[in-house]
Amino acid sequence: MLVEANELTRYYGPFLAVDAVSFGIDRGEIVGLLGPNGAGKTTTIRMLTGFLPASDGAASIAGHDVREEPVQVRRHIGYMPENNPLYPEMRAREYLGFRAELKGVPRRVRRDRIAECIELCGVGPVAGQIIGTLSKGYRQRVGLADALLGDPDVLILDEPTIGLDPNQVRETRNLIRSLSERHTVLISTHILAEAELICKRVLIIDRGRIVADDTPRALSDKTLSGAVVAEIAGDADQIGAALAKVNGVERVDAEKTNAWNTFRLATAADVDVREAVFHLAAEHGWSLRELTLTRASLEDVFHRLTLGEGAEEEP
Amino acid sequence: MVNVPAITKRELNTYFLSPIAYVVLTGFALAHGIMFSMALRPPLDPNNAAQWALYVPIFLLVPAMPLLTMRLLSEETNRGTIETLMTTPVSETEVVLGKFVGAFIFAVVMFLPVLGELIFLRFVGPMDAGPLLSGFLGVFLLTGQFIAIGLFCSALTRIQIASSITSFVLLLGLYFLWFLARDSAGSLARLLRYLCPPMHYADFLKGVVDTRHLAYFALTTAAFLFLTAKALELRKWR
Ligand SMILES: Nc1ncnc2c1ncn2[C@@H]1O[C@H](COP(=O)(O)OP(=O)(O)OP(=O)(O)O)[C@@H](O)[C@H]1O
Ligand SMILES: [Mg+2]
Repeated sequence: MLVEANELTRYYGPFLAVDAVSFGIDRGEIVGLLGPNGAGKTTTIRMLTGFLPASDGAASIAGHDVREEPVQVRRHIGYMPENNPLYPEMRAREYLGFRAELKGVPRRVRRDRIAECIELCGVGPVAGQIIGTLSKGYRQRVGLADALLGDPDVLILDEPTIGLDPNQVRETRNLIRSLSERHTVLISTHILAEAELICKRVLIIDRGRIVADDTPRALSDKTLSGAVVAEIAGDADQIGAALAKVNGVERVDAEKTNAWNTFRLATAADVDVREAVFHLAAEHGWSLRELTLTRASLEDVFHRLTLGEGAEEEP
Repeated sequence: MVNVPAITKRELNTYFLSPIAYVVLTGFALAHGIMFSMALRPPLDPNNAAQWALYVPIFLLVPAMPLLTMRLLSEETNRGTIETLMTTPVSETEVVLGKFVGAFIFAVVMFLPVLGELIFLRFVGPMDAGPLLSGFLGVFLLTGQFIAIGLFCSALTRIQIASSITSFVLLLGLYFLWFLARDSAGSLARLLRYLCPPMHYADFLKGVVDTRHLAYFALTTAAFLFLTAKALELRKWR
């Protein structure tokens, strides 16, 4: 385990912000820490990086305990905090030089390493510019370049795409995805699409507790049932009754528009009733013009886990 | 300690880009120049004038140093860069020392006008080297102590103004200890007088380098630097 959190707990005064969170991340994984505002993502990440001490529990990175060997831990991480704090009066290249020195990048390779990170993150066009005058997108790239400077084992990025325009969000996501080929990555986000796009594994955190830990795909399979949408012409009641009898269908919702009816067939997660529906329509001579298997999106999972009925139960 | 130079270098660069720092620089040069010119009355004795020039900082440093030191740590906390800083492999001690040295070098730049005045006096007539050298030693010891105090106050708050007011009040308080203890004997009064910086400063101007005074400045400076490092560590526990 490259990153290990063991019952990490954090109180702010009497307020329990993170409640006995445990997880492990293996080398090469790309993991998303997903949760609504105030769920405890930043607090968890700060405990992992050693910036904030845990009230209880332990964390280790690359085998070094965060509390016992903080400096060792810091050698293994590249961290971009929430809101990406930078020194506005410095020039981008100068800033990266300062950071490389702090991270102990040896003097003889420092220049090359900085150039490499500048190139990788697309900071080149603004490398000589004062950070305070950079656009948010470029500032984000400077932060990413900084996180990469020490060629860390683990990249920890707290909400790396927040406040960017859609194009920049896309670029940043692509960049992070490409970085994940060489580094283990932990990103926090409250954007589902982002976790779904970038991450191979998602930890959903809510009110300080991990409520789910799996691949995005498995999460939607496990947590919610699937559904088939079918559009069939004819008498809605008659068709609906027939569909309800199909093996595997749990519920039928019908919506009538002119001659065509749209049916939503709720099924168990791993059941596909499309073939049966097709045969049913063919048998009765009904015209069928759409037959789609929809799967629950991560959004549904998230919604269900963090707001509703499922919030208490571990899936 | 390998990271101290990097932090010092950044700190210095920031000083030379900071409007406040330039205000303090010019303010000090002006105020010192005016006070110095008061000594330029005939008959002009260069030794007396030099002693006066080195005495004046004891007033000017009290408002100047809080303004120079307030940003050292408050700014990092306020901008959030303390988080990137303290998640690189640097120790609290390195951060504190790096910032201390950076501020100290900038303060040395601030004293260049004083050096100019002394060079001017050298053209007026011969001067004793001893009191000059010990006087400068005293000035720098006092400056170092004030920076350590300012740095400590800067570790306590993210608001720069609050930091500068705290260290200003603390410095004034140290000066006023003398008034408190002026008339009384007894060990408490002796302790209060001992803590008062000007009490240790005067001898340096006379050309006396007393180890008791050296020990006082070294100890108090080290104590405040130590407290600053502790405050940096403890802020995590809030
Ligand atoms: N310094 C603090 N003092 C008191 N409470 C805090 C402090 N920092 C965070 N909290 C509280 O702890 C909880 C978790 O905060 P945290 O910043 O970890 O959430 P988050 O998941 O990162 O949220 P966001 O998506 O808004 O960044 C929140 O309820 C927050 O109000
Ligand atoms: Mg957060």
